Order: sequence, then structure tokens, then C-alpha cells
Amino acid sequence: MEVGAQIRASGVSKVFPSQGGDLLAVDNVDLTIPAGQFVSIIGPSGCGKSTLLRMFADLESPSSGTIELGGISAAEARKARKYSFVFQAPTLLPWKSVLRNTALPLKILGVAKSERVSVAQEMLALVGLSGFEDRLPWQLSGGMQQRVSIARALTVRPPILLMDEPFGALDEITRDKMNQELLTLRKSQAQTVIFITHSISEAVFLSDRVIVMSARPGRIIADLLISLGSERTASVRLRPEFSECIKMIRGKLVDAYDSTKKSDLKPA
Amino acid sequence: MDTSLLRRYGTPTILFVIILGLWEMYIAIYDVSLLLLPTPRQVVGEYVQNFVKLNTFALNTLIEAFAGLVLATLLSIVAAGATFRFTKTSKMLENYSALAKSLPTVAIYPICTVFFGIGTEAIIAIVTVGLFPIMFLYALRGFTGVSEHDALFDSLAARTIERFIDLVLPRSVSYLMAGLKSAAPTAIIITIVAEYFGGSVTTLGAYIRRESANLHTVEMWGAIFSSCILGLLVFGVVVVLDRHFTRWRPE
Repeated sequence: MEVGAQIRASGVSKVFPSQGGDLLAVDNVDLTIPAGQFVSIIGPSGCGKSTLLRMFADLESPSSGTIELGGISAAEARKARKYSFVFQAPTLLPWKSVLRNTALPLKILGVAKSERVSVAQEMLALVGLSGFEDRLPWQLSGGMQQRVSIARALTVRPPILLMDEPFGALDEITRDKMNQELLTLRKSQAQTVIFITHSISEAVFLSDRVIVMSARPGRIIADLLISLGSERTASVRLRPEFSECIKMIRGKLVDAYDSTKKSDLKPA
Repeated sequence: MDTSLLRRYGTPTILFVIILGLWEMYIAIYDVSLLLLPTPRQVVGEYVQNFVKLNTFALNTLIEAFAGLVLATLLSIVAAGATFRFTKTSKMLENYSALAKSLPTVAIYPICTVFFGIGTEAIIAIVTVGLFPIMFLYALRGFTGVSEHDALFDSLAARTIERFIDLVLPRSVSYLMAGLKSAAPTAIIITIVAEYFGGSVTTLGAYIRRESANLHTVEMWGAIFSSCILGLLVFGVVVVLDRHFTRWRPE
């Protein structure tokens, strides 16, 4: 099993040109994530969390600064398939069966059909979807579709997993279930994970570390280690430390939201 | 029977029967000459009486239309596939196609006969030229469509050919089928109009021209009825193909 890779961002900024003037989305982010760490990034809507993640994935280029994944640039890491990306929407190809969707990354890698079928079946079993191989995406619920997209991301056994609010569209109960499944999966694969979320409890429950971003332009305003141990079950949510973490992050987020309001009140 | 099915098929059928009834009544009340307009019953009677002859002509027309449709579809897929990644070129071709769509068959006919003579080849060429802009516009729209899946393929570092086979081409199928739904009945119309001007004598268009010139109005309407059936059949086949190729869509 390949252990996760280190991720490093140095002085990363992102400016989007627009008609009303350039828009600074992410401002001077410095971040180092050690191999194997699970990091959640949380912040107000539009603060540049997803943009930052997309820059890690080389789906956006930084306007300044550098990004490294496992010691190579983000562009090289993408070409070398060093990471898998899980999108907010399941992004399953509607014309392909669950099995063929899951096996897609392996097909693109040129893996032989028999092997990719076997790996895809293994990953579907891991996310509890054995028996659904021949279904089409529309025949699955939203939660099941997202599980397929996670299975697809895991087929290449990537050292890095980049997840952009993957459970954002799910109801609370399904989301809790998916969180538990994600932790179980991670035990067997040990990737470095960057997880974007709006949910404080989700971030605390899943992560070794939580990064809080300010309102636009996105800056890191807090970097908190979560000391809840590696064994996390539903009962963790009842522990006082869990509530303490939530309270602390909530405080930081309130500051971030307040700064959003102030920046909105500024004259143009 | 399902009420939605009844509404879907029942209403147009009732409307069609009412139109036929009004047609029959109009001829009976105003005693319209057979040279001007036969009754629907006479038209159907003519079709039944000359069933073999009319369907032989229809088959020849269908072969020309089908050949033109297939050529236009293949050429448009190749042209759209070759240009969709070059925004300026594809935009220019898109504009030309939008213009070319409005070209009438009578304008294409003399140009094609210069190159292909006045036989079947010329008719197929006319259909191809007439349908290419329609199919090209749909194919280009399909190929240039952007969805959330593009970012997925970017993240997977997929090569152009893999992206084309696994994403662009299947995503375009809906557009191509929509194009075929529009182009297939048009293919029959263009073929018959082109045959009206020249080409093989054993086709529906040529038969309509002959019978019209001889004031054989009932025979002419029989051929027109045969053309309508042919158009509907072709459209039906495309609908079945559409359901087959896009069966992954939610029911």
C-alpha cells in the first residue's frame, strides 16, 4: 500500500479577471500537509476553498506561488495520476454502468479489462455497493452515486485524495453514515486527504487538522489540530473535546463571516 | 389504457380524423372537380390499388434519401470532430452552416448536376449537401458541450482520444439523435423535390412530376400519400434508434 504524499502550497494566490476589475479569490496561502494527514478546509461561501483545492489538483493555475504534491508540481502530479478528485456532484457518466464508471480511471490508465473489472468490483464492495454493478447512475440514490464516485477515486489507490464537499448534497443521516464509511475506507488506504466542507461537525469528526479560511479573498485564519484519536465512531460526537473543537471553529468562522459582512459594506 | 397515453396519441388521431372529415365534406358540399382535389378515400384507394408500384418507387426514393442522410451524418461528425477544438474555425463553420441551412433544393440542384450528372448520384449529393448543415450544427453543439465531466477527465489526465471516445462522443449522441430526428424527414422531402427536377424515373418525385403534368391528380395524390407514409416511417425508425442509443437516460 502506497502511503500518502506530502502537499505543500507556498504563497499561493489566485486572481480571476472580471469586467468590474480583477477578483482576488485566494490570497497568499502557505500550507504544508504531511503525508497521511486528513485535513479539512472550512470557511464562508465564496471564500476560495474550492478554488484552492482545484489549484492543488491543477484544474486551476495559481496566479502566483507554487504548489507541490509529493515533491513534484501540481501539473506533474496530475499527469502522473498522483491524486484522485472527488467532486461535489458525483459526476458519473450517465451512459456507463456503475461498474464501468468505477473502472474509468483504470481504463484511462490502460489497465487490462479483466484487472480493471476485478479492482472496480473490489472498490464497489468496499463502499457497500456489491450487486449494483450493472445499474445505471440514475437508478441509484444520491448517496449511492456519491459512493460510486468515491469507489472510482479509490480504484487507482492514489496517495492523495482531494474531496470538494462530496457530501454537501446529502441529508444529515446519510452524511453521517458516509463520514463513517470514509474513515473506514481511509484506514485501509492511508492517503493524504484534503476535504472541503461547510459542516463544522463533519470537519471535526473526520480530520486530523482543520484549516479555517477567511471571507474573500481567502486566507488561512486558523489552523487547528484535532486531538480525538484515530478511533472515531459515532460516540466521538458525544465527547466534550468534540464539542470544544466545534465551539472553537465556530468562533473562528463567526469572525470570518463578520469580516465578510464588513467587506460587503465597504463602498465600491 | 393509460390516460397519458390516450391523451398523447388519442388527441392527434381525433384531430386527424376531423381534418379528413372536413376535407370530404368540403368536396361533397362544393362539388370540387377531381382534377383539382380528390377525396381522402380516393387518395387511399389509389394508394391501395397501386401499392406495389408506389412502394417500389418509395423504396428507390428511400435508398437515395438514406444514402444522402448517412453521408451527411458521417461527414458532419468528421467535420465537427476535426474542428470542435478550434473555436474560431468551428464558429466560422457554424455560421456558414446556419446560412447554408436556408439554401433551397432548387439552388443546390443545378450545382450538383454539373458535378454528378442527372442520375441517382446527383440526388444523393443534393441530399448530402442539403442535410450536412443541419447535422453539422447538431454534431458541433454536441462536441462543444461542456459539463462537469470535463473537469473529471482533466483530473484523470485523460488523453484527447480517450476523452473523445469516453466523453465527447457519448455526450453528443443525444444531439446527433435530435439532429437525425430533424434531418431524416427532411431527407425524404429534399429527395422527392430533387427527383421532381430529374434523376431516375422510378422514384416518387419523378412519378409525382409525370402524373402532375398529365393532370392525373388522384395518382399524384396517391404518390404524395406514399411520401407521407415514407416520411413517418423514417421518423419512426429514428425515434426507435434514439430510444436505443440513449436508453441510459432516466425513464
